Amino acid sequence: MPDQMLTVPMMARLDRPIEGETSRTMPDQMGNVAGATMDELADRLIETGGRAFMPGPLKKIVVFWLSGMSCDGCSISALGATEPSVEELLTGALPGIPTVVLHHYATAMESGDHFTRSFELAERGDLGAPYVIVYEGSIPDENLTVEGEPWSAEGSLPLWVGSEERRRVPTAEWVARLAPRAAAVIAIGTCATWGGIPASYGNPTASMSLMDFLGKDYRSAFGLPVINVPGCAPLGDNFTETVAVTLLFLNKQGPLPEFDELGRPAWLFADTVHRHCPRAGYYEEGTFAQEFGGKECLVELGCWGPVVNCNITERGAVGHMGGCMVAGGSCIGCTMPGFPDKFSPFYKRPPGAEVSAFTSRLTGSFIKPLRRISQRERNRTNLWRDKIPSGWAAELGGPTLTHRVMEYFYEKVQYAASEASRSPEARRRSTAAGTSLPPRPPTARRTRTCRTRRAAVARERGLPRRRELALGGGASSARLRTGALGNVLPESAHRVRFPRPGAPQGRIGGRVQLRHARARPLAGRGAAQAQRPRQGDERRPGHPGGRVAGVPCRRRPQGR
Amino acid sequence: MGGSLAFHAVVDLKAGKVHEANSVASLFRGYEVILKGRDPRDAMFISSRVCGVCGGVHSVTSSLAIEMAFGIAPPPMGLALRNIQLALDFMLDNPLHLYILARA
Repeated sequence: MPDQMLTVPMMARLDRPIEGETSRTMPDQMGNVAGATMDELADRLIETGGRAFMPGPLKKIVVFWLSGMSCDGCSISALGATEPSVEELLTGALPGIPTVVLHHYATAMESGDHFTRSFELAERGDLGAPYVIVYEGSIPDENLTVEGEPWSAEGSLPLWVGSEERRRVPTAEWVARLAPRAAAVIAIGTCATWGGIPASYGNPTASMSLMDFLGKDYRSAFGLPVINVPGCAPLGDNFTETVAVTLLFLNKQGPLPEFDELGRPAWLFADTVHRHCPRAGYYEEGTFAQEFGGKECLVELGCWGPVVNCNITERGAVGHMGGCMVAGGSCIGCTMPGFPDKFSPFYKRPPGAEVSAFTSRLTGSFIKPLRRISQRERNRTNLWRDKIPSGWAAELGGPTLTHRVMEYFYEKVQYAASEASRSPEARRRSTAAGTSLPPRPPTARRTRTCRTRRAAVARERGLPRRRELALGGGASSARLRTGALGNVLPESAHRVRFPRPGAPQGRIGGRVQLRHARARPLAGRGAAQAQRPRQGDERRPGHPGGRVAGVPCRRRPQGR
Repeated sequence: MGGSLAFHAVVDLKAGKVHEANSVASLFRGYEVILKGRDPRDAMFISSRVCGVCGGVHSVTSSLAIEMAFGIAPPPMGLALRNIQLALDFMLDNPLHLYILARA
């Protein structure tokens, strides 16, 4: 233990300090051996933080975090914020956002009277920086208290007098005294925004929300009404993000944030839980969990997600992880003004779910079987047509007659009026020669172009053989390599098969050319040349399959 | 002090004597009154809002109270799950208290 700890008299200082005197000369604070204040800490951060350029007129802004009828859960959830984090706000790490000097009852450097002194300075307007009130917990009616001992108190006044003369100050009084000069008032948590659990049925303390306490006509010194970030507990990210955009606005670095008619950040609370819920797909198909522990929709177990404005399903609880439905819990509507009474009993199915769940069961009973058919077909590659090469897939068996019929019409509709002129089935049949395909039934084989025959005809007509191109030989590929196309192609491109310049997208080079065009579009004169068909070209330009005209098909030898 | 308890003492360290010691709860919300007349299962949700640091413990204890009142017991896996959850809550609230709320 340092010597200082032993020699410092741990007793309350009773005399009033001189104005401007720092608390370093008053070593009577529990745990604060240096006697530093939050203001000094912030000044040190601003001086030495290494940030040469901070846009905006404000260097620092003071935040008074008041805790009324609260459980401290909002403070804890704010600690878990990541984007931006509390540390980033406190150290001024974000451009355009002034350094936050936080007066929080749990994290302040000062204690006792030194803690409440800055509150008094703020009330008098002597703080030297604008301040924001963050209020956590609901506000009780202090007129109902017995013998003047408040329902919720923070500090005692007047400062610097003996304990017997002091009066414990209700948190509500601090709000009433600080709110008129505040740059903004932010209510965090459902208690502060709507009243929450202390204000639910029973309510022995006549609790109310911050909005109700200050009245509908309240505007801060900067003209803002009360900003509400509800949730029990709220998402830390929601709170710090709202603080960040509000500070950007106060620092003239951002627009006025958009709030809805209840004072919530509109970009955070416009959507319902259900719209981003990982279980919402089960609802759509009419699959509902009958007990906890499953992955299906929880509406029939008492989930209120479809009507609750909250973004926890989108944002997660901490660092985009977790959240109520992800963790397996149903929504009890903790961000809503009606919480908890209008959502309880929490384990009972909401009455509205009887109608909506029945409807989605009804539609789901049609949709689910149809989707299974499409899904099964799309779980197979194009090559797995009649004989399935994988031992795993073979377990599933081949398609049934119903399946084939459904798929036939499905494909017709899928490719109707589409740019892809052929269905996958037709394209599969005209796959380039050289691709190894599984054997086909005789019916399919009869319609196929025979690759050896086609290659012979192509050779007759003077077209380069695929093999030549692949090896980089032949006049055409040499011309390509010297840049006849007028474009710059990667060296690796010359090692693969390549079309002749001027050739239409034909059988031999068409697919390859397409691939190159995708990788690096041709441009300039060379591109025009490359697309133009040559004189006397007997092939049919633009034929999608690029099949050589007039070449009859021959049966493929058996056993291939 | 975290947990809405205010404590004030005047101690003479040299003499080793406590002159004055006062403590007062700086918060009353009346959860007992609020919980009256509700579905018993809701107690797990509402009583966990007593404390934002150790809410899980309040939730578990109210579920124990419900079990005692109804004379029921969870299945073995449910018991294990509840104990794991309680242990995780300790891992959350003890560091929170020691490093942030106790602050001395």
